[in-house]
Amino acid sequence: MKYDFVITTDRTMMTNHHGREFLGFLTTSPAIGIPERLWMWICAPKPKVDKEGKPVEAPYGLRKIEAALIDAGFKAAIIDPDYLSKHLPKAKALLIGHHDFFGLCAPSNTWWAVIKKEPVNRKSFIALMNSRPVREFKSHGGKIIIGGPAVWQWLHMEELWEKWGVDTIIDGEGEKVIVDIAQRVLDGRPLPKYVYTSPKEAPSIEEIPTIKGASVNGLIEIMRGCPRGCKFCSVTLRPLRFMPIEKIIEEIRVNTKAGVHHLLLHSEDILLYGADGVKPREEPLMKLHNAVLSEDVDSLSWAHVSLAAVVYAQRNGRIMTKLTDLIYSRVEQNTIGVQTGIETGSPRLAKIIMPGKAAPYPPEKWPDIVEEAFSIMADNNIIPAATIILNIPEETPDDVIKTIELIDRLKDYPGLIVPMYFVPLGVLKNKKELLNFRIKAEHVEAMWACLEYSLRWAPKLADAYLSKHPLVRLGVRVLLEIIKFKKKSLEGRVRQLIEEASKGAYTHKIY
Amino acid sequence: MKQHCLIFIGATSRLREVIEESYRKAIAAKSSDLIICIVTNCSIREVIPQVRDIFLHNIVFGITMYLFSYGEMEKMFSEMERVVDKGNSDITIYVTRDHKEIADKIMQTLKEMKIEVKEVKIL
Repeated sequence: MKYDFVITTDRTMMTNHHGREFLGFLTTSPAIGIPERLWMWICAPKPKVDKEGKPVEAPYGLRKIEAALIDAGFKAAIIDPDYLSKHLPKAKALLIGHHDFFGLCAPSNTWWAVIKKEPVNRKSFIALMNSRPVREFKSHGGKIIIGGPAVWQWLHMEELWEKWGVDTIIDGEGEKVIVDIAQRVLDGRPLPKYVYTSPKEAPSIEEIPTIKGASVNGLIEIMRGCPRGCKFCSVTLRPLRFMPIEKIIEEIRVNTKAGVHHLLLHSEDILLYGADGVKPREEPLMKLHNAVLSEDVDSLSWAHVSLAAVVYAQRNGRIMTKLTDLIYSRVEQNTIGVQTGIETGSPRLAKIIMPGKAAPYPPEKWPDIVEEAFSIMADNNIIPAATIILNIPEETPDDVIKTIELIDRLKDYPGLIVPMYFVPLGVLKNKKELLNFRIKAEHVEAMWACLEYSLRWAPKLADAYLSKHPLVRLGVRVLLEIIKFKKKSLEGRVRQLIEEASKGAYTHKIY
Repeated sequence: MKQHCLIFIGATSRLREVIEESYRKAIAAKSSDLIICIVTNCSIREVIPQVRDIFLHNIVFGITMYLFSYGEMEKMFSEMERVVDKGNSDITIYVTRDHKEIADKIMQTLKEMKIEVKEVKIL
């Protein structure tokens, strides 16, 4: 079949991470202690494809663009990067999406700064753009169109923009604008170099198409936007929209029909589905979970929850317990994994950078909210992968110390805590100077606290969460042992690192 | 839903200040869309540093930026005729003296529209 529009991404995105989303985090790091090929196999194995090279599971964002084009009558398909040479000679445009093209987002930037090696996602994307099929496609006049949540990075990469001959960058929700761009390609009309779709131009629920093929690990979006208004986040700029349950079910059926029976509910805050502002409500949450668990799914996880919503939900009707009881009674699992954000342990900084994060509670209570949420999640077998953010604007050493103290308060609750360096997104996206940063002495101490916390709980998490694939289990076990071993040998050096960092020895410079 | 359209003709050394001025005007006029059409022989690599700060700063407007070379004038006219919302748009042309004839041609092509022309001094 000939496709006018070939949609793809690099290997670190075009993969199902062995069915374990958390393994996807490893694509944001350089290979540590093992050969890069093995590292890539652990975190980004090749997906199953059909005879045309169309992946059974593909990133959800690409699926939405594919669906928008198909619904508008275009010949479009997602193609695995290894099969581009088969399709590009006949295609009119190559559409590429990514969530971190150049490794400038967190945690890629953090790993890169600490380990002083480029993360594999960046290397993999650059290799895709330099690959023979893409170069030949461009040299024959093909159009290259780029989209996805990390397109802001291209505004800092003008040399590569020119070198690779990128025709159009689309920043923002792309379902509507891509149809116009595709028509221009077919009509031979000029393409805009850059398009930013404002929140006012965001597609309505009716304009958001239903995916046509399965999404990676059964990810289904249940809402868009977030009302919390954190200054470092781009999602908060989008209008809030709840997907109707019928639409969610329709997409789940696309997945189950393709043999994907895991369901990963996606939103910036699952607990705010149908909420009253930032106050979770039992009725829509139970209705949603009852409906999705009535489908042919065999496991369920949540993409993100906010810690304040966990606390509010549990304090007001024990919603967390009701939800997890429902999930564990309907599918074969007794834990649920979720990402969440601690970001800081400093109420002062929380008030400046994320005043709505603790809502409906005051930001002054943030550390207590975090601890209570971790306790609730532990009681209900919810395993959080949490982030802290270092180098937040206006951060002082005392703020970082408060974060370290908070991590210490959490030590008895299972989870992972990942340190990330601040990335200027959302309303702070113009602060490009923050892409450069210095690793300060207190940052080393915070990263060390995260490592100690995470290694304490890693074996338990590995048992509860890891892929059933014996080689993946072995690979991750070996990796954990290597990290533990390295940690022991590092202990003596950490003091030295702190001393060196305090003298400004560690910097990460993009500009 | 008012559209603000900026056409810049010339080398890009003054583009940054022109874009900043235009952005402020668009805010004052409560526009919802900003169309930027750059006619120059400069490459995208030279254009992006001029527009980067405004693009990163912007969260409210829809922005569409076109880049045409001097040899693509016909394409540019035809595209402007299509994308400019005639009943709901104001157009400002910023042009360096050596390319004033292009501004004249645009005014002839889009004659039914309200167009302001400003000369940009070359640095």
